[in-house]
Amino acid sequence: MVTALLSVEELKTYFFTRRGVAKAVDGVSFALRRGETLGLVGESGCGKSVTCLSILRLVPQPAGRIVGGKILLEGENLLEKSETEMRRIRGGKVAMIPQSPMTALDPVFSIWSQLSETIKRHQKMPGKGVWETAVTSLREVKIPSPEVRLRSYPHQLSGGMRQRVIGAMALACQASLIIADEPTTALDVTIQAQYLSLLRRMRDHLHAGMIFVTHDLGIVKRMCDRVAVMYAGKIVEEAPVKAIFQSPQHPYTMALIKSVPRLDTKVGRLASIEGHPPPLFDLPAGCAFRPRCSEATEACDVIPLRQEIEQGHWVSCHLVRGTGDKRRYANIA
Amino acid sequence: MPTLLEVKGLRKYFEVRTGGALSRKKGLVKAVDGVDFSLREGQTLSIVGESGCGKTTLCRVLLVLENPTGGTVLFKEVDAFSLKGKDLKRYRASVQPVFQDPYASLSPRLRVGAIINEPLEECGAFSKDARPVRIAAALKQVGLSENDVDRYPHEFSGGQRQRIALARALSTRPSLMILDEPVSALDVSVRANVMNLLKDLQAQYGMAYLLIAHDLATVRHMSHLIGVMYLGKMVERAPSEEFFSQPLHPYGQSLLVAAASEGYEDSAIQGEVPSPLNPPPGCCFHPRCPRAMAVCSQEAPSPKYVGADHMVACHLY
Repeated sequence: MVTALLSVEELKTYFFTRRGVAKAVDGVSFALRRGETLGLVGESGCGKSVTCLSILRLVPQPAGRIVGGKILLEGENLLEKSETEMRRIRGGKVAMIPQSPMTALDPVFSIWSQLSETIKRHQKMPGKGVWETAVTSLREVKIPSPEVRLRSYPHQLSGGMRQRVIGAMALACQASLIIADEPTTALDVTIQAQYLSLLRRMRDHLHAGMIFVTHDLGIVKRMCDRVAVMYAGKIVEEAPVKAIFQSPQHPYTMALIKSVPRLDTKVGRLASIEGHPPPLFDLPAGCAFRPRCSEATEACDVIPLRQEIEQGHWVSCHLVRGTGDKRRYANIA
Repeated sequence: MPTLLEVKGLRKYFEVRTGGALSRKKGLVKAVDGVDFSLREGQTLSIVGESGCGKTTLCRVLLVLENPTGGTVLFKEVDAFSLKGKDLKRYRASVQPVFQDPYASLSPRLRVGAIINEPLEECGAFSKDARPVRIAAALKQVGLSENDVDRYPHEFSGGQRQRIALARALSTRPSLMILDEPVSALDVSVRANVMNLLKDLQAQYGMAYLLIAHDLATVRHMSHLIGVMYLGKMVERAPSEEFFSQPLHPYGQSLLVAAASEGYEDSAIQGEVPSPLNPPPGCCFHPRCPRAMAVCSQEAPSPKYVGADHMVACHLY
């Protein structure tokens, strides 16, 4: 067994507000190896982004607090780090690819000053070395004539190039964990395809682990090795990407897959999931998906335990019992 | 089904200053440059293409929010740009837009009833007494309750808000709806709901849709016809199933590959859309085209028909 790069254990991030306690992340556990991409999928408000912010220890203060659990990055618990140590980790070992890379660069600073700032903060090297690192990393992300581009300002670069500059920052600092929070939402398909392949190349080049947050199941299929499906602050199913699409076990996962139109064939009516996710202030007792679940039984009054039904395939649902009793839903995807 | 909309040689050029705010140099952006298509009642035409290809300008021209530089739009055999006064209002009542983001397209200070009342009042086709009945009916059509008229948009979820936006568009009984990314701002599980609703409404009332969406799976699910635009020109137009099984234009092909490609290969086209201020000569796609020939940089291809309804503008055919 290869040791995990990142292992999150029973992470709990709550928001304490006037309306009550919102359990945005409520007992999330997963592990990520180097060279692997984990997709984090689910509806808005299911806790995907808060999970990522918790890893970076950037949960909005003072309402948000990590109240329990462990986040082990290369064996070290990030929750025990001081703010100074965290600052060294953010942007260094852990790189964040923001939701809109188009606006993530500061318009009043040149590419060089933004890229060199990151490099100097995380690596001790002479000025010439910084320049060389910057040039190499821009070349790595296929930016033509990087020496010229370093002197440019963000507005002089096209949208695609700006995205690649963000990628170059992660490369320059030799990140071992890349967190990409919906990096391709609302991009054109062509630019999206280019960006996804850049992210994959980056991950392979650095041999880093990647957490890929998205709600686009098509992208999950293309990008990820494993998928964790989140619902109301919990991971309800986690499996290799193939298993998620071929034999999803949790009713929520199944519903999610069936509600998406497909590119390769024409489907009839889409199956929609009725109702809304429960408010995080006031979760139903038992399984949080119960009010929307078409297969709910009395057993669902109790919060289901996480069980491994096949190696690497975990489900939290009362309908699934042990390895022998695995339901098969073939040909859904 | 009779033809509802006939667009011929539609052009919309914008004059822009190039080289700084004080410069007198003028450039011409051909946002829509010779687009033809026709749309029957009950059909959905989807326009696909990258940002800046002219999709939105096309919509704005069809809504008569912009005057075209040239070309004609015949709506029910009447020239849309010759309309004035009451006739124009009636046209606007029968061609209704639905926008992408229901958090931005509904005024937070108006109650749902007032929001839906606006187009009814503006189009002038409904008397004051008839309007509340229409509003209630429109809300019912989209699966909301007539009691919702006194509520404010913030009391609704994203999917419900998009239903309100749909009710507003439906209130004037349009025969054409222009849907600009109607589901992309919604959550995955809600998208299916809204797409089903759109299809049901179309089946029931025989409206035509002009749909803009960048998610090709959504496009495939929703449409009868596909139009591919690149830098203001329509480069391919075909029945939906024909396009998805056999796209002809290299640009149409690359869009499909980009949306479907799996794994590591860089099979998608490289580069970005060139500046519309300075489009490449000949076929404007040739710098990115994997199958470009010598002729492509010299001569712009003219539209050709391959099969009855399959138009393609490319030198390969």
